[in-house]
Amino acid sequence: MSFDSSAANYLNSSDHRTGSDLEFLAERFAEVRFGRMLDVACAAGHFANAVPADIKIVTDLSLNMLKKADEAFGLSLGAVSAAEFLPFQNDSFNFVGCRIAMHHFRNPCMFMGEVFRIMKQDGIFVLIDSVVDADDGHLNRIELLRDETHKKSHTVENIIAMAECERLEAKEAVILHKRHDFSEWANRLNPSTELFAEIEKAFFDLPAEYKQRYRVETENGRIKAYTDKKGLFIFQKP
Amino acid sequence: MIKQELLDVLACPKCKLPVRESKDEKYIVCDACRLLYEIREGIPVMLIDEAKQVEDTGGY
Repeated sequence: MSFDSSAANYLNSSDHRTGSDLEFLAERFAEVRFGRMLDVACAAGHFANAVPADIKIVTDLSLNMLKKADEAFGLSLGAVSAAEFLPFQNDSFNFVGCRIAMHHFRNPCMFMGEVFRIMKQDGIFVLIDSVVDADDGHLNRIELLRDETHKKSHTVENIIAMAECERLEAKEAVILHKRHDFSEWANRLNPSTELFAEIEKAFFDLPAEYKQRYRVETENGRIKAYTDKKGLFIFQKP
Repeated sequence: MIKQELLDVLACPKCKLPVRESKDEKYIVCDACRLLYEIREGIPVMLIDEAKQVEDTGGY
C-alpha cells in the first residue's frame, strides 16, 4: 500500500495525531495568530490544524491526503505539490510549517530555498522531523526498509546548516523523544508478512548500543516499541 | 471553482508567476509558461511533470 492509499492510517496514527511537538508549539505560539500559513507535506492535516492562523493552505504530493485533510479538519485550500517546487508567489506567507516529512524529500536544500522565497519578511518557519546522530546509519536503513520513499533523516547540525545556506535564521532547536508503538508504526503502510518480519528482525539485529539508544522494548519475544528523536526547529526570514 | 484565498497566492511552480483558473474551471493556467495544471476533484495538481504544454493559453 502506498502513502497515497494509506491516508486513513495517517489520520488515525498516534505518531501524527498527538505528540509533544504539537503541545510544545501550542504553548510556544499561544499568544500569536498568524495571517496566512502553509503546511508543506501536510498528510492528514494535524499540524495545520494545530497552528492558529486566519488562512490555512496545505500541500501534499498525495491527492488523497489533501482530501483527508479537508474531510478531517476543513482544510479546503489545498494543492498537490512537490516540496522543492512550491506553487506560490514570493513573500506570501507569515508562517510555513513542515512536520515529519522532510526525510522523504529529494532535495531538502531546495525545499528550504523555496520556503525562504514564499515567506514574508519576519515570517516563521517551523520544521519538525526525525533527526539522527552523526554516527547513526541504522535508523535510516530501517526506515528505508519500512518505507521505500524514505530518503534521509539528518543530524541537527546538518538541518541548521542547510537552512542557514538558504538565508533562514535559526531561532530555536529542541530535541524531543518520540516513542513508537512498533506494530502500529511498522504496519502503517500495510507491509507483507515477510516485510514486517524483516523490519522486526532489523531491530533485533541492532548492536546493543543502538538498542539502548532507541530504547527498544520487547515483550514475549517480539518488538513492542522504540523511541527516536524529533528535532523541532524554529527559523525566521530576516 | 478554486477559492479566491488560494488563487491569491498560487503561482506556477516553474516560473513562480501568478496563475489563473481556466474559463471551464478544469485547469490552473500559467500564461507565461503556457502550461495547464489539471484540477482534480477540486484540487489543483501543481506538478510541472504532469502539466500540459499548449501552444496558446488564450482559449483557456
